[in-house]
Amino acid sequence: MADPPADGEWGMTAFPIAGDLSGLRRRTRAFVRAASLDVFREMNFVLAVSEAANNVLDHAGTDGLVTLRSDPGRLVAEIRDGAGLLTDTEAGLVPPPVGSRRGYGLWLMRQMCDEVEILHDPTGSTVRLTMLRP
Amino acid sequence: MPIHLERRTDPDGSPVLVLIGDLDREAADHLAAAVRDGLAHSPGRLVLQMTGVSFCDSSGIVTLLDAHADAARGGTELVLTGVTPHLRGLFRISALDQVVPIGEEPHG
Repeated sequence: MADPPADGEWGMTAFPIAGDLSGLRRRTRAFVRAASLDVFREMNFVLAVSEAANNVLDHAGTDGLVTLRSDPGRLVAEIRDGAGLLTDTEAGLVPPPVGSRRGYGLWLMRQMCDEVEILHDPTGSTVRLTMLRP
Repeated sequence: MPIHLERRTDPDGSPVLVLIGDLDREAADHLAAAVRDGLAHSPGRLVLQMTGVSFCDSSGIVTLLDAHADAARGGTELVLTGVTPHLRGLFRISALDQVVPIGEEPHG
């Protein structure tokens, strides 16, 4: 793991999204652990990153990249896909219907994180997840 | 951690499926098959014991909803037990707890 952030320090790491979400969560957890979130918020953040990567695998297929950054104030994950299929910047603001078989990903990310932004440009889409550090 | 499933029997005779590991997209087919197998042996009630679930995401939620629907079609009630606090929060946010019964009693 490159540059895990010590308490109050800066750090950055990035890795491609392959099929192995379990490995992706392990790397995310290792990076996040040093940021001293409480255990629930750490689990929430890892879940949100995993959901965003899951969406890339479901909808965009290839060219997925996770970038994790930490500064003294916040943890930020950017999950990028090269397909640019995620264009609705308001997606996930309302819950899916009770019992729905789809539509949970962005709803969960928005519930789990302090801030969620959907960015779209001609070369792809990015979901930016932010957690404030204690 | 990949999902690991163990079949047990409750003191009252109900079959219990003990889930250990991550309930994600990679676990979906495995769990669905185990639930189908459990339904073939379950007289009216099938318990999924969740204490060992280390992670659950939207794929896991959909897998549980499908399992519950499959069970209901065959006249079996699928019940989750041993739901840890983080999972409980996830099941509330996703409204899974409005569809699938969550038991309080320890099982397995």
